[in-house]
Amino acid sequence: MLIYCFDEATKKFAYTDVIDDSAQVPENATTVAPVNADGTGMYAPTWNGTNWVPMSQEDYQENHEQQQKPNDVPTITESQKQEAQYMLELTKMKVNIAANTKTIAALTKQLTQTALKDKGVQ
Amino acid sequence: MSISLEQIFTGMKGGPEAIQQNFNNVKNEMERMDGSVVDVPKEQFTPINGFTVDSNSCYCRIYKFNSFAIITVGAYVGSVTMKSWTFKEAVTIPKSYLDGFSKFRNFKDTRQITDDGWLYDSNFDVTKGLLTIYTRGNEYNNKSLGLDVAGILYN
Repeated sequence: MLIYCFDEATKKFAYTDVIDDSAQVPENATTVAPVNADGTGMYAPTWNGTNWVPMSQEDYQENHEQQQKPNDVPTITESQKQEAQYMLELTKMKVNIAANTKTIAALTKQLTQTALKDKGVQ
Repeated sequence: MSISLEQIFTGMKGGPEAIQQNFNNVKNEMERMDGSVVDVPKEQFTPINGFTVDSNSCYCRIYKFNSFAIITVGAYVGSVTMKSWTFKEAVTIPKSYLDGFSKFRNFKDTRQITDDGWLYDSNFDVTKGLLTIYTRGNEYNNKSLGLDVAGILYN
C-alpha cells in the first residue's frame, strides 16, 4: 500500500513510501494522495488531519521558487540580445543570397544553352 | 569486484583444495554481484508541486548489492510552468525502495535538452526519493519535460 508521509512537527508533505497492505498506517502518514482532481500534484501540501491543504501557486512561487542563477553564467543585456538577433538575420540573408546566386547561375547557363541551340538552328 | 585468490604453484601442498577454494570464492562473488533487481511500479510515482506525470512513462529499476545500489529512474512530467533558473521538486517514488542509502552520485552530467534546444537539469534527491528539475535560461509555460537519472546509491 502506498502511503504519503508528512513531517510530524510541521505536517508538511515529506515523502512517499510503501507498507504491507495489512500493516497499520503510521501516525505521520496517510493513504490520501496529495494530488488534485485534475492529476496535478499539490503545491507544498500540509496535512490537516483529514485532507491535504495545498499552497496557492503564487505563495509557492514566492516562498520556494526564487531564481538561483549560477554566478558563472553571464547576464545577457537587451542590446546583446538584439545584436544576436541581427546576426541571426544576417546569417539567414547570407544563406538566401548564396541560394539565389546558385539559382541565377543555373538559369544563366540554361539561357545560354538555349540561345546557342537557337543560333545553331538558324 | 574484488576477489582474494590463493596463488597455485606446481607441487604445492593442498593444491586441489586451494583451487577448489578459489573457485568457491569466485562463485560467491559472482552470486553476490548478481544481487537483486527491484522495479518500482509506475503507479507508485506521485507528481508534486503543480506537475502532472504520465504514469506510462515512469520507470525505476534498482540493482541492489551488498553495500551499494545502482538506480535508473525517470518520468515524463507535464504542466511545467517555471521561471528561468529555478529549482523544483517534481515526482516522488516510495522511499523504502532506496534501502536507507543516504548518498547519490549521478553517472553522467545532470544536463538534459528539449527537442527545441532548451537546456535544463534533472537530478535525484535520495533523502526524499525525489526527481527534481532545475531550469536554465528559458521560461517554461505549460511544457512537458523528460527526467532521466542514473547513478549509484551509497552511504
